[in-house]
Amino acid sequence: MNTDELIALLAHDAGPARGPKPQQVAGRLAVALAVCGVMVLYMGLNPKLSEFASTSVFSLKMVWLFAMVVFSAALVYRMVHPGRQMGNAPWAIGLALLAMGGQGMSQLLQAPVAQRSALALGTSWQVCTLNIAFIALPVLAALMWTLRDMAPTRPALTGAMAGLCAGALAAMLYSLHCTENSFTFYALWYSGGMGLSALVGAVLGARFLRW
Amino acid sequence: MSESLQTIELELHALWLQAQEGDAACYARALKVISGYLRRYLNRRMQSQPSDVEDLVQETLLAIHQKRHTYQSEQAFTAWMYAIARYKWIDHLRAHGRREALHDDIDDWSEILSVSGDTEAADSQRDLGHMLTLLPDKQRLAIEHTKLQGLSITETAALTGQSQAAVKVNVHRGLKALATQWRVKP
Repeated sequence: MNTDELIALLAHDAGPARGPKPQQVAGRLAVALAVCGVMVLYMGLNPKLSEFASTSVFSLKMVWLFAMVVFSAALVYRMVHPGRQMGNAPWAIGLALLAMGGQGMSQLLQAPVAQRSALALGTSWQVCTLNIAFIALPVLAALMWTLRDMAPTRPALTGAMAGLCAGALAAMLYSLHCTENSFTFYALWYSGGMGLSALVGAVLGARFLRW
Repeated sequence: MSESLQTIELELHALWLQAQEGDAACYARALKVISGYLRRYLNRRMQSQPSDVEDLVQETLLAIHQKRHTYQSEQAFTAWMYAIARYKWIDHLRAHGRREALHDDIDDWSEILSVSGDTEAADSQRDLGHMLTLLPDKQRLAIEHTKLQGLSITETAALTGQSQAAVKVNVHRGLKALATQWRVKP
């Protein structure tokens, strides 16, 4: 085929460019979050949630997770627009992770040796990471669906960042179930859950976000 | 380099925005100009596989067309365009790199000698006719009539019994399907 032929062909399809509609994107996300909500309800809410939710540990964790959601979403937004720089978002994500890591570390070091394993492992360390990554799946699916219509020039990395974003959102919802209250635990297992979700996102991205 | 990039930017930015208003002639002109820059960009990077340049020019043009909603008007158009070209180039290297390394055909040399100029449109190795036959009839007819026979949307609608909206939708869907087939060479 001659390139001029192709150009003539494409010109017939001229017109304002349409991307994914915001309502559509919001709709998919809402459905995904509803599914996540059901998953958390199935796991069961923390019976002392109203008490726990008013503690500063809980609010700090939520602020941290919310920051992770915002930073990773901002990064994904930039990565799906060709020619846009990543800006400060990678640094912001790194700093947020580092902040919780530092907080967890100092809490661990200040505690008496006998209590350290309780701080780090709590009662749910075996399931926390997997639960978060599992709850993240519907959100990740909704994000991938939308990102396929965009133009990520780094498919795997974009998928990973979408996974991170989904993981952070999932962790916020999982917090309604989780009874752990140490920063050390969050730094280890919540980060682990988001990391696992990012890994899943990277694999899916390499596969499904190419165009 | 930076000065010439600025010239390209000035030339394309306004033209592109105008084309996005829905002006087909303007859009064709923009794509034509873009194809010249793409050819130059890819010629420079693919000196060992000149026969693939035009394929990749077309693939990149199609990507630019399909992903045009990802361009943000406050952004430099050239940054967007070259980011897509770069993505398609790297994607191509990844897909063909290994094969090309093993493939040393005498024809490659004759093609180096006859490589066309930067701005001259050339043929790719894809056969449009063949790709069209793989489309559903409605889409194929819509594309054949509007493009290959140069009929208007109204005339095509009358001829095929589709509504004008349906013709537009079918041309659009057909192009999308063509893009999917793009990677499978006939």
